Amino acid sequence: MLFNHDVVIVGAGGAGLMAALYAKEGGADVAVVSKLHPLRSHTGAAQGGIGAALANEEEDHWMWHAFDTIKGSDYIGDQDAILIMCQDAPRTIIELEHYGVPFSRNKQGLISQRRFGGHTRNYGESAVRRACHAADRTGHAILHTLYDQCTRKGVRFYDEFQVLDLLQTPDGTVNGVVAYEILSGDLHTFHAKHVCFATGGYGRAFQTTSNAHAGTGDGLALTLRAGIPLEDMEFVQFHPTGLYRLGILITEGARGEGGILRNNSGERFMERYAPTVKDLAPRDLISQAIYKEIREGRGINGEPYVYLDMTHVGADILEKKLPEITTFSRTYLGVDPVTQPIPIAPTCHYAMGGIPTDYNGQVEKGQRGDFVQGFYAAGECACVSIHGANRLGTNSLTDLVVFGRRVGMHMAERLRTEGRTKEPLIADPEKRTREMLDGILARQDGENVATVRADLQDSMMKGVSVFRTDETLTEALSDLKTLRARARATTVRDKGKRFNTDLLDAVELQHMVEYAEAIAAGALRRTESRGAHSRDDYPSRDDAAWLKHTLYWSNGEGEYRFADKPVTMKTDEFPQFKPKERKY
Amino acid sequence: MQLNVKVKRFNPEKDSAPYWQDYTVNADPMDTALYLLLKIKWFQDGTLTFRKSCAHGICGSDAMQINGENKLACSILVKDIAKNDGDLVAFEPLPGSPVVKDLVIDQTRFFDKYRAVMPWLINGSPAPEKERLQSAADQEIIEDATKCILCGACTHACPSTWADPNYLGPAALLKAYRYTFDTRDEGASDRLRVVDSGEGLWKCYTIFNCVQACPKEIDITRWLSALKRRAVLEKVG
Amino acid sequence: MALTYSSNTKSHAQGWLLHRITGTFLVFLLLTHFWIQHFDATTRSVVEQVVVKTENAEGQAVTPMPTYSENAENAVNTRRKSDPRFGPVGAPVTPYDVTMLRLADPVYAVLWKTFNLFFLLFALHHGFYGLNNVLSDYIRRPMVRAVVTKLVWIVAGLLFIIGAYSVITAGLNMQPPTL
Ligand SMILES: Cc1cc2nc3c(=O)[nH]c(=O)nc-3n(C[C@H](O)[C@H](O)[C@H](O)COP(=O)(O)OP(=O)(O)OC[C@H]3O[C@@H](n4cnc5c(N)ncnc54)[C@H](O)[C@@H]3O)c2cc1C
Ligand code: HEM
Ligand code: FES
Repeated sequence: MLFNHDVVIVGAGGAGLMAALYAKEGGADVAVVSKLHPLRSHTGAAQGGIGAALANEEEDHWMWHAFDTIKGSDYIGDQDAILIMCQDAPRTIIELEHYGVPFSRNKQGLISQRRFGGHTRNYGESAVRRACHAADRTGHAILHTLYDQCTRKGVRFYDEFQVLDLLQTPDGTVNGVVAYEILSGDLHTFHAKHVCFATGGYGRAFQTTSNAHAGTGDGLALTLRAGIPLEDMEFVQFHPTGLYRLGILITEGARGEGGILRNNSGERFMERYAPTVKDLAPRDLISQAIYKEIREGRGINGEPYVYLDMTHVGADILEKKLPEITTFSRTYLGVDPVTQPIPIAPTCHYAMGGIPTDYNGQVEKGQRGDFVQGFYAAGECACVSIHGANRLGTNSLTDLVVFGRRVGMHMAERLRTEGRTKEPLIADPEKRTREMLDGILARQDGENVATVRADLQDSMMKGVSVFRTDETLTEALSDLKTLRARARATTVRDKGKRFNTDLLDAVELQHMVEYAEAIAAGALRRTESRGAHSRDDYPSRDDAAWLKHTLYWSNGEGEYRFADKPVTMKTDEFPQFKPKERKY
Repeated sequence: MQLNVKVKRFNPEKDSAPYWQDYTVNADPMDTALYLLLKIKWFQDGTLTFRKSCAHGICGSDAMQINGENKLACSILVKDIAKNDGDLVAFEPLPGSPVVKDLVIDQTRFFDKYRAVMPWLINGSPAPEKERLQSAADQEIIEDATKCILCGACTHACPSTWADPNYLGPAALLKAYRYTFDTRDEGASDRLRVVDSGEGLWKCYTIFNCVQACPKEIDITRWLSALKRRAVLEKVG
Repeated sequence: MALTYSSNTKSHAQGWLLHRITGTFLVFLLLTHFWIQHFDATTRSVVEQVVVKTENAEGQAVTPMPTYSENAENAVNTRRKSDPRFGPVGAPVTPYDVTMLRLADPVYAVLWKTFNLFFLLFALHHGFYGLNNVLSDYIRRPMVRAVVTKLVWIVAGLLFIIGAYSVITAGLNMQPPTL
């Protein structure tokens, strides 16, 4: 079937819903196409908070927030976009509050704020309370409220429609998508003036991850296939505190409330790595510290994990302010954080890189200002770039809502000024997708999808996770060559049309190979250590050579090329943003 | 340990009626029930179909009946449903909605009911510059209800819903409570008009099945009772 | 779509509240009723032996009569002396006798009749409202449901008329006791 809308938003997490809401309010006819029901999106899993310099608890300024974000990014976040985000954040949070987000409150009845890693007062002096939160269900509260509001405003939802192709005119203007209706197995074409990708993260390419099963980076793979580059893919955040073995996240808010990391001798080892902020250092530093402790034999009982000790924090705070994580560790590990330390290890958490956009979410083909017409991206799948080499906790939700909002308004504004006439579709737009699906269904013998996926996750974990060397990365890249071939030759058992998730698993596996290669290749190319990208063979940051973004193109057959993109600096106006050694 | 897993299967594309299928699965007591299903899907039978996403009880995808009780598969461990080798673990779709395929139910009606209660903050007065004030104590009134993940375990455990599929059901009514009792909301009278109807609140006979089923341990019946009092006061008081 | 669930917006709050109120009153009304009718040795009209099957010496099932306190027997026999319609003095005392005795005093008669009318009204409202709930759970066609609800309340109304008639007229033709 053919569906016509002014705006088609792919993905219904925080970014997608925010864009939908503001585009709708701006008068656009908006459709949200999502492979999951919107409320199942992984934004709901965000626990700890959303950063904004509201100064509800103590003095705070958006400039301090910008400084922390820039420093956190290890100086390759684009400073113009960061300034916009930090300045826009307070009013956006206030708007969310007006929409009904049930934030926790402080004594004055204002939104309650708490400390979070890397957020400081007065340019790094000491930790500041900046993370607005709804207990430890912040993302959940925002996601549900946004869905409620979109429902109210009459946004059209296509739930459980998985987008499998991006449609372009011969000159590259994006004018629609092809989506597979999971319930019926039918393909549909969505014809639109503007398409916005908000497809979220890709953590499922790694064995241990805090991401949902749906986090398979579909949007990134589809973008690459359309000949559009991905930016800074080598920067993958490993969150220091995932439940050991499971990867389920224990929010940084736990350390914000006083949690302490300890090694096998009970030592508070972060005192050695970050003497000022200790356990509230940014994630890249802590994850690397934990790996060092483990490598040097100070893991608990020699196993690859350490302890997060909350026992001194008290049952009251745990039950009131961190109820979710208290339940998680009780349920999944049988460990009661009130009396026992929680076994934790780093878990693949967040994609700093993604689809390159400007600060209005317009996708760029290469250099700045060279836009792919009709195409926007927002949220974790986009790279604005705010987070550079390492994202600060609470800054993703801020990114989603600030840039989701800007994208929505920008699309609506352009519809008003440029009219709603759409570029004509190519002939038989569903052909490519239909052939791809039929090909998978027709294959009778081939490998099992899950086996290939497990091998991919294993390769990525071994070669491309917290510590990387020339050797591990080269090996991962060569694994990926075979994995690409294997992923294309899998067979599925379910041959039916109705709710065929077996088939979709096979499609997603092919996506995973595409962006996994972008990560590994980018990491091999970047011969320095910066933020979350840490090379044993190039242990220091090299601003002379590498203070720049990576752009990556692929032909989908294992041939790829790179280009550099300069980092936007505002250091003339704001000398405090000049790159310095990153110490906490 | 080795478990005997039974799944109620049904694919309307080709089956005339649901049937039970048996699988043998090797499991660790600390595995989640969801992992049992994933192991079957990944390595034994790709046709087995169920919803899942977050895998830690926050997205609400995988509410289903496990050994006869409504649960989130990802939030219950094998050790809580099976003790010994050869024990039986039975998976069925949530009861009371049409089955799309295997453990996947059609949630259209469930979300229609959600939409019916005007699940959004209604406040016509001009928004202040800063946030609308709300004391921590006032926030506490709705705190428990805001935990809801709309997984449907409650509504599909409610005998009133089973008897009358048009009954709004605990999930939608809890949402109505969440907004009606939000001190920032001014839409109580409109929302109450919906929940005060014949298919609304009054079909809650305080059976407490919803409370028992809720994976987030929300005191649903308590909040519905508060909503009933409010509706009565609106009419009588 | 959403309309299906909100179109029927007639308020049901009052009915529900009345159901709680009548239920609450029923606790007291029922207690009093049970005490007077079944437990108090002076006034009971039915006793527990009625529901327990008993046999006489020949093995036939019998329905035993309640036994009354000496006070009650004396009162009935006194009554019989002045009003032969109550049967011969010394004959076994029946539930009818004690009930009529209670209604003989005009003040008590008014009180008991008021009590019984309320009891009747509350029990009928409570029971039939509950019955309606049960029926409406299973009848989903709005038309049928509306018709059945009407029918149920008509039956309840009829029962109330019959009940009220018997409560009001009971013992009206009795002479006041001449003690
Ligand atoms: C456990 C956890 C805790 C976190 N805590 C915090 C925190 O405290 N603070 C913070 O700032 N950040 C936090 N983050 C990060 C943050 O939550 C995520 O980065 C963010 O929610 C991503 O939002 P999104 O809207 O981009 O994507 P998501 O919410 O992941 O949504 C993606 C959407 O895209 C859809 N989709 C994907 N592929 C397709 C396709 N092919 N077709 C159609 N639809 C598709 C999905 O259905 C979904 O609706 C956390 C992340 C995790 C995993
Ligand atoms: C001690 C006195 C009584 C009390 C306190 C009482 C209380 C209640 C309450 C609170 C309910 C509603 C349950 C709910 O909707 O949540 C109810 C239902 C009901 N009651 Fe009573 N009741 C009493 C006596 C009676 C009597 C004497 C009858 C019979 C005439 C009766 C018949 C019913 C029926 C039929 C229902 C509906 C049952 C259902 O909805 O499934 N009740 N009662
Ligand atoms: S998979 Fe998300 S709740 Fe279970």
